[in-house]
Amino acid sequence: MNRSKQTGLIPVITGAGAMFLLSGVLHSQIATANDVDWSSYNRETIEQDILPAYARFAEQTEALQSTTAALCSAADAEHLQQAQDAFIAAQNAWQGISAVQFGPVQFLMRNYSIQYWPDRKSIGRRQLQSTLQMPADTQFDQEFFHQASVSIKGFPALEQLLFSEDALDKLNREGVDCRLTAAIATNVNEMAQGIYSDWQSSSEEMLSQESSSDDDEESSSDVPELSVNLMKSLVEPIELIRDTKLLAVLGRGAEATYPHRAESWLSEQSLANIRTNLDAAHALYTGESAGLDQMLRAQGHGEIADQIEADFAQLNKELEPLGDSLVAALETHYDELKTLTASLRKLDESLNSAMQVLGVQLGFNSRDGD
Amino acid sequence: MYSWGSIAVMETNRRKLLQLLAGAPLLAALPTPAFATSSTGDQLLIASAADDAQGNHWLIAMNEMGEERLRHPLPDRAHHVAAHPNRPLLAVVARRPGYYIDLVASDTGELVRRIEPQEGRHFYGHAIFTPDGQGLLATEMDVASGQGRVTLRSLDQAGAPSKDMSSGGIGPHELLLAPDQRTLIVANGGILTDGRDKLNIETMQPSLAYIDLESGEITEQRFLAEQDHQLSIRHMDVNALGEVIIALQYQGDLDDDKALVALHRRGQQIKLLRAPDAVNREMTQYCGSARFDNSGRIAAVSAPRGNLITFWDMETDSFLTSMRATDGCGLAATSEDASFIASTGRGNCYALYPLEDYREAMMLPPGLSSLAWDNHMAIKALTS
Repeated sequence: MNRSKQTGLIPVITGAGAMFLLSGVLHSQIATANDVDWSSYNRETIEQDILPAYARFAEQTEALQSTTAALCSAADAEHLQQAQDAFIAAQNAWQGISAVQFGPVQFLMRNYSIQYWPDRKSIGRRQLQSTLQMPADTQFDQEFFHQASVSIKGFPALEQLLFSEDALDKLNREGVDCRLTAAIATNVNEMAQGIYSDWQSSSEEMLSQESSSDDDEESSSDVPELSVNLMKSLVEPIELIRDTKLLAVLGRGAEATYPHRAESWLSEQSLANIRTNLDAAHALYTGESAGLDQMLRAQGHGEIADQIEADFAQLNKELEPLGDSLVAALETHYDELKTLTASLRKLDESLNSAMQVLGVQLGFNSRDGD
Repeated sequence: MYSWGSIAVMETNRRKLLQLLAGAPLLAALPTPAFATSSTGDQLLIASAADDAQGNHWLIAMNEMGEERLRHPLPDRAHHVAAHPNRPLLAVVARRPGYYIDLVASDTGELVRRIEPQEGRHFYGHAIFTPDGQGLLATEMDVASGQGRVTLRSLDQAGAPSKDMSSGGIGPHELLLAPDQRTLIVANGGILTDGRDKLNIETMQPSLAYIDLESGEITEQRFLAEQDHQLSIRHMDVNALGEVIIALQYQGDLDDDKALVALHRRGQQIKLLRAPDAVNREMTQYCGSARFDNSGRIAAVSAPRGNLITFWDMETDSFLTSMRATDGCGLAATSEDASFIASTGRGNCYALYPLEDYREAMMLPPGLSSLAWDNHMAIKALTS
């Protein structure tokens, strides 16, 4: 029996492949010339935003590794404070580049391993509790992290170890707590160094791939894949900040909030994270000469560029009085937080208008599905 | 027996052909008005739902040249498109929870009829025409009971469905007709939803149900093993041998590394098919669409979150290869063996030749390349 479909929908048509080719030739003649210099945009964005942000992340995680190592040799209040400060700096550096969800950060699930969040089912907490029960001589080596749950490889687990109320007691007890803390910090640092060096070694290749014209990988639109990925890193997180970092916590009213859904609530950095995310987005948006801002203005869309700048400025202004802790702000500034979500929506809309006039199809949200 | 022999690299040099064509001045100079009919007539109609950059929703159809043939506005985001077996008619189904199915004339663009669910029901994103072309079968949710239903409506008569059957589970999604033309195959995703919120991830029980179209009786139903109950069975295709290829979506922990494709043959258990570790990880726990090729031997399964299309050999029940397609989900088989068309959320459409590891971008005009193609694609041969 033949496996061919019996629906009769697809009789043999020879040369279908050739037809596509033909269409390619024809359409390439009429495709509107887009004078946007995408290769300059790619180069400038990678050299001035992506690489420096990963360099900073790698630098901060190195400090995190050394301060947690020092903490384990003398687990006192002073060393804990230093480790906490280093944690906040490293987490902040991550928040400055976490919007980039393509490229080396995807290798080996580094993106999830660095920060497994949101974690609605508290997988991280449970995994950490069971790991802390392990025998005192457990080795937290590469093999351990290879096998371990992504939920305990990065910032959320470290945060619990460093910021819980009885952190100092636990770090001093006869258990694996302190060694695990130092090992996770080391693991985060290794991932950060790995991402940075992978970007350094592959960025030229990424940039040159995009400029080769005779390439089957070329998409049918005029916008190179790398540019789309970079712009997705700018636009997509705005919705994530609004929906997951804010609205999910704000709940159905000031009396029905979900404080523990907040990102980094233990280290009281939820709003600081958002501020950093928006600063990073703003940096991704503005360039020196070939950024989106310049592109929009050069294409005669100055009004959209002005609107985007105004939206960013408005968000800055609204965030300023709210402090770093979302949990605290829930009590005192609920309405202001609601306003903030509306302003994020506005920025999202402005950025989407920019994508529209530049002819960029970002596609569905990476969480889209059915 | 297959309609083609061994899996060997087919000798076609498309690159060379492309260069030849590109060098032909006459062809290069031809204008391409959007609605021109080519002298030979269209051979294929490729249809899919899509969103434009402004967030409008459309049913789009184009020919094999990438020339737009239909642009029908939709009230809400859509999911599946079905092509009528013998009339120029398309059915486009609202995304779940869905409240319309538009029947659209593919030649005139006219909205022939908008079907809405009965009170207390919503559609689940998929519908198919009956083989005689007289009716439309759709998966639905009965909101009060949470149970899945499959309904049959006459195309010509408005009103209540003439048949209303249990789908055999919760969250029915894609449905197919088996080669015997009288057995329905339904993917019960297993997920109880309220709007788009998922309510029963811990206890979900997806299944594959074979339903006798005449009696509405379930003649065979397959569940996954207990440890795999969070693999939602949602999209699938059937070949002429009745083999069903299934695209799975994993609802469990992000850490887990489950097989994401499955195969079912009547009378047997569902067999999970696993890609090589690195590919399986890259698929990011999510497959979006499944289609057999013209021969029925090769199955394509898209993994849009992993930006991959994977290919599977039904002779050996194993992974063949994968190809990249950023945000690629929609799949359709062309008339050539081992050849597919894939569409992406970024506006691209590709012809894929997995055995040659060859991907060809369909060069679409700006009006089409600026669309985000939705999850499923229909392809129909035109005989004129």
